[in-house]
Amino acid sequence: MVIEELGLSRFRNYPELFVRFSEKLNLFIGKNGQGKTNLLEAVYLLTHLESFRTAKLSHLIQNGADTAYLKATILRGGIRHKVKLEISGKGRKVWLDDMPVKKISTYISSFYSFIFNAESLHLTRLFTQHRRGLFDRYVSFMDPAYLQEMKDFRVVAAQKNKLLKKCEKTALEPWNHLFAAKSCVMMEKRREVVEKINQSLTFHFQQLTGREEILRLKYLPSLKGPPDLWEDWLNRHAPREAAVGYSLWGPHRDDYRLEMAPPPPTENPSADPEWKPEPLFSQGEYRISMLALQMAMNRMVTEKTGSNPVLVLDDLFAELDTAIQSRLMTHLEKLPNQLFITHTETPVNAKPSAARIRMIQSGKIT
Amino acid sequence: MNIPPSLERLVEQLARLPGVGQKTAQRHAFFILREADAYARALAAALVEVKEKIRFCRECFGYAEEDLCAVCRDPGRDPGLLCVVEQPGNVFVIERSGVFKGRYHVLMGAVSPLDGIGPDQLKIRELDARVSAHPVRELIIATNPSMEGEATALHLSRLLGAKVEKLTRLARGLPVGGSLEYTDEVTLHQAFSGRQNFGG
Ligand SMILES: [Zn+2]
Repeated sequence: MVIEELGLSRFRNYPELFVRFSEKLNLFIGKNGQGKTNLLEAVYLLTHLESFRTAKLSHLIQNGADTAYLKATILRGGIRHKVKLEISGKGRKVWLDDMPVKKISTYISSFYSFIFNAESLHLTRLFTQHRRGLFDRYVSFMDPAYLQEMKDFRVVAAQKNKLLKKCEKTALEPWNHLFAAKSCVMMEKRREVVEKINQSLTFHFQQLTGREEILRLKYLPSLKGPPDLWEDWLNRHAPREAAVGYSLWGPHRDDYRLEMAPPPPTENPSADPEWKPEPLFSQGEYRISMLALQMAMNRMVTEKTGSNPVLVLDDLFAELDTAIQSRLMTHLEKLPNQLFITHTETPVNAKPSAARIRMIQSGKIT
Repeated sequence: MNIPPSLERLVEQLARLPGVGQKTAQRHAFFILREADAYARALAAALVEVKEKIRFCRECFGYAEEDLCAVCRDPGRDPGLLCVVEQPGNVFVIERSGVFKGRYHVLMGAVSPLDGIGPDQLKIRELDARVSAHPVRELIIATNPSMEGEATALHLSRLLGAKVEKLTRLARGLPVGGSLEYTDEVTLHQAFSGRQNFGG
């Protein structure tokens, strides 16, 4: 898919803006605080209907105004769509081809974009719940039915927690039965996506960096062992959960972690590699590994939907050395996706050939 | 805008109805005003009458105008088939489809700890008594396919599984997260013919 045109009105620091984008690489150069990330936020908002920076959509309205508008032309599967978004204190309204959108989930699962942004990466590295949030999004990209499973699970977990707070252990059993059943379905879907990511993660990492290490994603489920034992196990451990007043085991406590290893020696390819866990990655290694992860997801989504997601890469070249920067730019230019990249200066060794380089200063694009 | 107080009161009352917002409530109120007096009187009388006459059936807790509802009074209905639903309204949905020839038991809700509803707040003790007093060949659990409906079904299967010959669950095939109230007749037919043995 391609976002061809974008119009903003009273959005963040843009009073009015109209831009036509390149269908391939769009590079925006500007100092911090000039509105680069705000522009990417608008692009992301068009596909996810939420921001990657704030949970409160009213923060997107320009100071002093009461309504912000976004308008865009999006090309998808050969069809040109008109999208309009209105954000006010009351929330958001969406129109697709002049019709109000009733079911948000259908809209979200017809347009895809990936965001690469320092703040989100930082949170993802620090907090388990952000990692779970990221992968929940990825799993729902691959399997929209996962959204309903998550919804059901949240209901079951909330009902169960209520009983744990009140220490009603006998009433707990039907809920533990549902809890185990829902956990099993969710975890199965998570495991499938992680396995699929791992089939190409190392490939993408090596492509991006030119390095030889192996990269893999580990899924760390909180419930272990065969699923048919979980219900009984949860029932037996109810006193421990009741003591704290909330459920201690389940998909809401799962984790995901990256790890890296040197390539196996040629004389002994089956040797057990020495894995370096993610907390020991350098900042640069972490950024490029997460980019490799997005490239893997990007290809999976393209294969599944037949459409290329939009890649939104905020301040991509930060903390990467110039050799990698230039390699990265060459690689990204070859992708069929529409790309939005921001940087504080034109990358010296990574000057894109076909890109549209735009300068951003105080909410104006030249 | 200066709305006459009586009109405002009517809109306020109508807007409390499920699925009716301010705008629809206003449209309904204007309609009532435009119609002849007789309509308003008939509507008001019907509202009062339904509250005065309708009570819960002594046997199944469905809506009735007498001690027993029409289904419980009908000797042609098979007492060996018992269908358990959450709400009195659910009985009419199944009756309209004409697919079921047994009797009903209304629970008056589903277990939901968050709303303070446990088995004791539902008509489960009464169901237990009914099942123990008269032999039941098949107990069909037709609670909603929501998580609360599922938990209620599980509770019932554990409590009553050994007291009935056969225990089945209707929800499979009904839209996930849906409610019996909004299920069409074709889907209901399929759900009944495809009901499965259930044991939690
Ligand atoms: Zn009755």
